Amino acid sequence: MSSKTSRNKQSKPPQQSQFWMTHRAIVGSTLRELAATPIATGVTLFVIAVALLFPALLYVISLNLMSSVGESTSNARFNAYLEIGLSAAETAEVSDYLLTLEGVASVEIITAQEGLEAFSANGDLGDVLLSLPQNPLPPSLVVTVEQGALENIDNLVNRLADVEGVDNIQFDRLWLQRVQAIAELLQSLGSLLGVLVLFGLVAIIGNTVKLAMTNKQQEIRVIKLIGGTNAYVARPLLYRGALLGLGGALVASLVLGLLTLGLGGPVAQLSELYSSQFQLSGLGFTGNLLLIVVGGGTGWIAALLTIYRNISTIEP
Amino acid sequence: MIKFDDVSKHYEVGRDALSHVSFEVGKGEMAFVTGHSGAGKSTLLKLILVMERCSSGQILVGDVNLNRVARKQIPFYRRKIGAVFQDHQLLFDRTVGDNVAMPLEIAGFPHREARRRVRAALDKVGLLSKESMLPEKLSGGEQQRVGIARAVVNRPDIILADEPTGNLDPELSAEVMQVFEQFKSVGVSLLVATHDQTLIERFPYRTLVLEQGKLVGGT
Repeated sequence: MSSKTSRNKQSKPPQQSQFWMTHRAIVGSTLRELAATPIATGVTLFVIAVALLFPALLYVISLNLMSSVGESTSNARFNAYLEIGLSAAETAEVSDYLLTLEGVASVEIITAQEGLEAFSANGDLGDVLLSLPQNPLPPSLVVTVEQGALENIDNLVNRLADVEGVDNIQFDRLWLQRVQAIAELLQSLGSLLGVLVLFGLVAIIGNTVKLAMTNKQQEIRVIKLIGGTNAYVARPLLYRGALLGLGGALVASLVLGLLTLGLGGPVAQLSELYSSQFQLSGLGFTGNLLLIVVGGGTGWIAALLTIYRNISTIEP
Repeated sequence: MIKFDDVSKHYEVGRDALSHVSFEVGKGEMAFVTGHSGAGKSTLLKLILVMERCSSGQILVGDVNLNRVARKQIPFYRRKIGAVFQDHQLLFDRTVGDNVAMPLEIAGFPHREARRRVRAALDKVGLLSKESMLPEKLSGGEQQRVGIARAVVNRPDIILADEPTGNLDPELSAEVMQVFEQFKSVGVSLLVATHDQTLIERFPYRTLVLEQGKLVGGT
């Protein structure tokens, strides 16, 4: 046969719009096929969603813990005890200097006398202090810091310790450190689990696609027999994988959103009791987008791997 | 158009399915292949469709040497061949129209053009009214004709038909043959495997007779 004439009468190059129409038609028919087996599709989506939900949930929890640390540090204050016997003018000088430092929001001066009065108002020990010939208390400064990371506050504390006239700084950072460490641990755990889940998803979706291939064996044979390429055969299967991943991710994103919404009220109440502005936050737009893209992408890759491994075994 | 040159095909077990077969079918020529079941008719058609490769010898189809055609090229080669199968090979979850449209869809035809051609092909086999029905609602003979419509819809250079009139009464058989003759008259080469002796008698085309894998007549 002369290839020239046959080309003229047989194949017209598919136009761009034709290309998109074809792909839209494949997506449509794949969705219909998935909808035709609602239970199987539902179970698959559920499994994918649950699998994705675990790392996403860990990530959200760690994110919230982190922001709660930030919230706590924003109101953090610490005491700077000055040297005993510092005069009022000298105390004011130190206070003024501290105010010029970056990260310091406000400074409150508590003179030695005020300290003594506060102590004596507090019962027995006050009497003992009052009976002493000299006030043993140093003047002190209550420093409130601006919102910032824990490290910034640490730096500030270290710098203050070197300031002349400052004797000792008291800052209880241990519990903040603990929360932050837990948040970091959860985040690493989330990442680790995320990687495991991705492998699991590849297995789940790959298996589903393989099943679809087995069910479509006859169709694939016929398509190949009348000139369908492997790519043509693969296309709807790729969409199947991607759509399942995408659907599962959407369900996970939805569940996560509902969880955040449902827990938001009680958490806000709780934080109000601690006079904190802390609010529960979800994955956010970027996070949700990432979740969905990762879901769809993993489905696509899983389908691709499965098709690549099995397509040559189905021949007419 | 189709040239077999000393072609043999043997499977691992048993005797040769084809043994030293040589023949040629020219452009615009129609030929029958006949013989008892197991004589090698199906093997011959499978070789032309590259569903299997020959053990020795050489097959040329058009300008394609089937011994050398790469795996990746097979789909594009098959698009030039319209094949009618004994067991129809229709997809039962698609309408008659969608079944016939498959070769066009695979070749990337625009939807409207494809539909036009599908109707023309269905009209040729007298099934235009059944376009939107599912194949399982049709009789065996009608299914066979859907298969024929699918084989011719992409205007192939070659039509291979395996018992195309197997389920048809004499009248419909004649109609199918007339469709084939129309294609023959525009330069299509046809190879029709059949053991329907009355058909062969009514349409006196060259007949290749296979017997136990050997060509015993009609070269």
